[in-house]
Amino acid sequence: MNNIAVVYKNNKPAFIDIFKKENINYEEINIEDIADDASLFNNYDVIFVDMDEDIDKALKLINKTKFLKDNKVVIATSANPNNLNIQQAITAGASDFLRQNIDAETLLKRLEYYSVSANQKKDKAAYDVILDAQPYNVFTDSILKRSIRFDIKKEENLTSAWDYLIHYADSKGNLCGLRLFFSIAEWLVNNTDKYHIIYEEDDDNHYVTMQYKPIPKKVISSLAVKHCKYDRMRYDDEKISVVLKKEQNAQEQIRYKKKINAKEFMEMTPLEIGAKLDMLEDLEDRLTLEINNLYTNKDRESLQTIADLFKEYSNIIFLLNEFEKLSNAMNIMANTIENMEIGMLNEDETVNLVVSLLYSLIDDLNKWRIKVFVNQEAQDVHYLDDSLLASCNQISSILQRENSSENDDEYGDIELF
Amino acid sequence: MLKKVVFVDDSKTVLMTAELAVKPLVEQQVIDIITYDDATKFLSDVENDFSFDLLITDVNMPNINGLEMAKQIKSNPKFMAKPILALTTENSPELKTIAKEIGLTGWITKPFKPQTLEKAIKRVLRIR
Repeated sequence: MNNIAVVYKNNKPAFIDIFKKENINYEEINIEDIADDASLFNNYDVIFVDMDEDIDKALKLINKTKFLKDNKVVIATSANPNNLNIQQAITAGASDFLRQNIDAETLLKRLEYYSVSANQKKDKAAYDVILDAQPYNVFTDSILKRSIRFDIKKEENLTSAWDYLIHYADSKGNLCGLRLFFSIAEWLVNNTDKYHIIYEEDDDNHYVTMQYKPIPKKVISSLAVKHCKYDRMRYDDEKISVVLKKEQNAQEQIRYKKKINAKEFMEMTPLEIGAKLDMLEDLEDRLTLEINNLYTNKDRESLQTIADLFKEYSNIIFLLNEFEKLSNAMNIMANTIENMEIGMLNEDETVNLVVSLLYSLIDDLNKWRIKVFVNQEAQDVHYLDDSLLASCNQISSILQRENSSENDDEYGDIELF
Repeated sequence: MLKKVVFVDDSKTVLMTAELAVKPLVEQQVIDIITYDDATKFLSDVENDFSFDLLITDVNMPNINGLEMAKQIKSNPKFMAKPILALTTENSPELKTIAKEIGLTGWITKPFKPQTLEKAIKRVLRIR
């Protein structure tokens, strides 16, 4: 378990009793002792902040933790949560919201998730620092992007790395490399304490590198020779790299393979997302109201309110993970509305058009939320992602009255068979 | 005679931008537009004697894949010869091959230029 801190003023949150009962180590910190200095949190990975006694101070602290090293997992807590304080906490940067009278089983499940999340954040932070360094792989002097790193301690970690890798198993030419990779990776699991698998890529290839503590070259070379003579593998004392040729349109194929239905998605999402979904519903209602107000209040302030609500929607979708494209689409809408010429609202026809387009967008989002999270009936949770992003770009062109010929490259074309 | 063009897309936003794009053709009384944001509703209407001259459909929809829907429609002798266009963000050759095998007439990628959609409808329906 990671280092846990519980921050409150006078009234102990009820879940502390569960920590005690389950022998979970934690430290209690008085919110008054922290003043404005959130750096005290540097020693903790998971931080619970009570919102009930001094909400302003709690929000300030949550906000400041965003800028700390390793980016902490901060959980806002309250004995009497309401939509407003949940929304404020999430907007300030909290990863989740927890009711203080939570039952032990749910709390333990959540702790497990927070712990994984904290470790991922740590790994990512360590990883970001070295992004400017030389490539890990032993094939190239430069790389276009380093996509992910897995720390392998046991076989389960290898499964995640393997899942990630098989998305690239799209050509026969790569199969030998994949087989070799897996054999050596498995051998390393059984013969080393810990090693890393790092994925990098340039325009033409993916590079998968296993980095380990020095192992005699003889062992590595015999492993390589044992599995195949493979010119797309190179090694030295501390790493083995395998190069996988990129297929044309590989990205599209990957995305197509990764379809996941709503039920599976919800089963795989351990984080309690109810609070965030309530906030989305609330924002949809407020957006509908504000959009309707455009008929009577045709001013900059009304547009700004709508833009701000779209931004809030975007932030919350981003926190759901996995839906960055939808979040990006909402951001595009916010910016479009923010930059709309106010003169456009003098034309009744344009107001009708804006209102109808925005209503249809809210309707799409509402249906998506219900089909994916409430009824869990969508066959693909990402069914709306690309479509809505494309629509928002299109609405943006319409509302900003762009000359379409200026942006021809961004638009698709017709292909008759 | 007015040609009946059907758009099927789960996104009302897409349906609306498509309607805006083909507005000139509607105003010229060349085509008539019918939109469905529920593919299963469209399939049930088709089974109940509804007909069309051109179907333009999304591919990724929550309840049924657009290509699967096109396959079902093409299996009905009444619609075998009806043109169907995909209007989608998908662009993979694999999917396009499947679309060709099913008998789709063409593929338009989103986001689309209004003129592209208008041009596609004119070409497929041979409208001058």
